Amino acid sequence: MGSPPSPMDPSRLPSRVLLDTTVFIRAMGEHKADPRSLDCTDFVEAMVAAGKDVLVAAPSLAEMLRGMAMPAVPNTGAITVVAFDDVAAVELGTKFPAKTLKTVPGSLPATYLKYDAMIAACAMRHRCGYLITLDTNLHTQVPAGLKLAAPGEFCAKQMQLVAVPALPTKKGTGKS
Amino acid sequence: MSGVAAADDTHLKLEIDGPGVKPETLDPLATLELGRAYFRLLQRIAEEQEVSLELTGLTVEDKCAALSVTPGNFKLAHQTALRADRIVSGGELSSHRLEVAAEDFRAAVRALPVEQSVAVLVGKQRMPVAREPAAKVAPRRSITRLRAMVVTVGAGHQPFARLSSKSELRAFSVKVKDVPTVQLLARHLCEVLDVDVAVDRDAEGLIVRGELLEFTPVSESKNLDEWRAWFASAGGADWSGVEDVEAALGRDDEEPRVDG
Repeated sequence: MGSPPSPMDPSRLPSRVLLDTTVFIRAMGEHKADPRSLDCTDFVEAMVAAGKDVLVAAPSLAEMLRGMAMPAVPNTGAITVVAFDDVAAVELGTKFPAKTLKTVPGSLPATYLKYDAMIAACAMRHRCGYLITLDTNLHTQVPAGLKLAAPGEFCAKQMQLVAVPALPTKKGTGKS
Repeated sequence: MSGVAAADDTHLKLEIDGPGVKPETLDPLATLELGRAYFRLLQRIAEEQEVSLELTGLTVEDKCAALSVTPGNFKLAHQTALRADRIVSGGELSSHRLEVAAEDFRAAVRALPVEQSVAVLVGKQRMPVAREPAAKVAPRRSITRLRAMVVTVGAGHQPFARLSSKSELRAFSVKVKDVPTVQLLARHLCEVLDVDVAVDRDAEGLIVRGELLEFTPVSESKNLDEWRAWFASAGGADWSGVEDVEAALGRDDEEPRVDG
C-alpha cells in the first residue's frame, strides 16, 4: 500500500513561498494531534515534491531553537534558509506599517522588532509569492504587497455532492 | 584619413576640441587610445546587458576633430552612450569590469593636453567628458548568503563568476579570488549553490559588483527526510510537548513580549 494521495492541488501551488515558524515546526512532523499540522506537512511535502521553492527565514531558526544547540543546517534543494540581511532590513524599516515597529513600555525603551516582522521582511526581500503562516495577527503587521496564506488554502477543492435528477421514463413504459 | 564632417543624426562621435585642434594636429597615439577606450567601454556596457552593439566604420571629421562611427542600432548606441556618461562621471555604480573600462577611458582623456577637451556626440546630444568623476556614488556594502545558479565563469585578467539568484532582481557578477576557484566553480555551471558574497548595491538595491567569499554545493532532494532528522537533532521533539505553538512563539500577543 502506498501513501495516500496528497490533498494539495498541484496546479494551485505557488512557485516560491517562505514558511513562518508556525508552519515550519509543524511541517517537521511535530504536533500531529493538531488538525492544522496535517495541512502543514501535506503542503510542504507537495511543494518539495513538485520542485517548488520553499524558504525558511534565519530568524525562524532562532525562534525554533529556544536555547538548544543547532547542528549544521542541511544544504538540500528541499528547503532554503534565507538570511535577514541589509536588504531585508531596508524592506522592514521602510515598507512595514509603523505599528509593526513598536516601542516596548517599561524597562526596554529601544524599538523592539519581533521575530515575525523580520520573517515577513525576509519573505519580501527574497521575492516570495506567499508567506505561509497560521498566525492570524500577521495580517495587520505586513505591507499590502505581501500575500499571506494558510497551508490549507492550497488544498484541492472537494467535489460537491449534488442530487441526480430522475431519469426520464419512456412513453408507455412508465408506471401508471 | 580625410576630414569629412557628418551632419546627420545617426553617428556616434568622440569630439576633441581646443585651440588649434584639427585632425592634422592631433597626437595619433593619444587619439586612437581615446577612441579605443571609449568604444571598448560601450561594448562592455552592451555585453553586460547581453545585447550586441555593432559599430562600423571610422571617420576623422574635420570640425575641431572627431572620431565618428556608425552604430548598427542607433537607439541602442544612444542608450549605451548615456549610461557610459553616467558611469564615467561617477553618477552610476558599475561592475568591476565596467569600472576598469571607464577608468581606462578617463585615463585616455587625462592623457590629452590639458587645453583639449573631449565630448561625446550622439545624434543631437552633446555630452562633455570630465577628466575626473564629479561625484562618486557611495555603494551600499554588505555580506550576504544567497542560493544562486552559476551562469558563467571567466578566468581572464580578473577571474569572475556570473550568478543568478531568485532573491535578486537581476543576474550579477562577482570577483573570484583565483583561477583554481574558477575551475571548481566551472564544475557547477548551471547548478544551484549557496554562496557567501560581499556585494555593493546601488540606490535601487541592485547588486552592481561583488566578491565571492565562499560557496557550498546544494544536494538535490525531493523529500524532507534530511530536514526532519536535522529538526529532531536540533531539539525538535521539545516542541511536541508544547500545547500551543502560537502562544509559545508569542504570536497571540497583541503587544510585543518582554521575556525575562
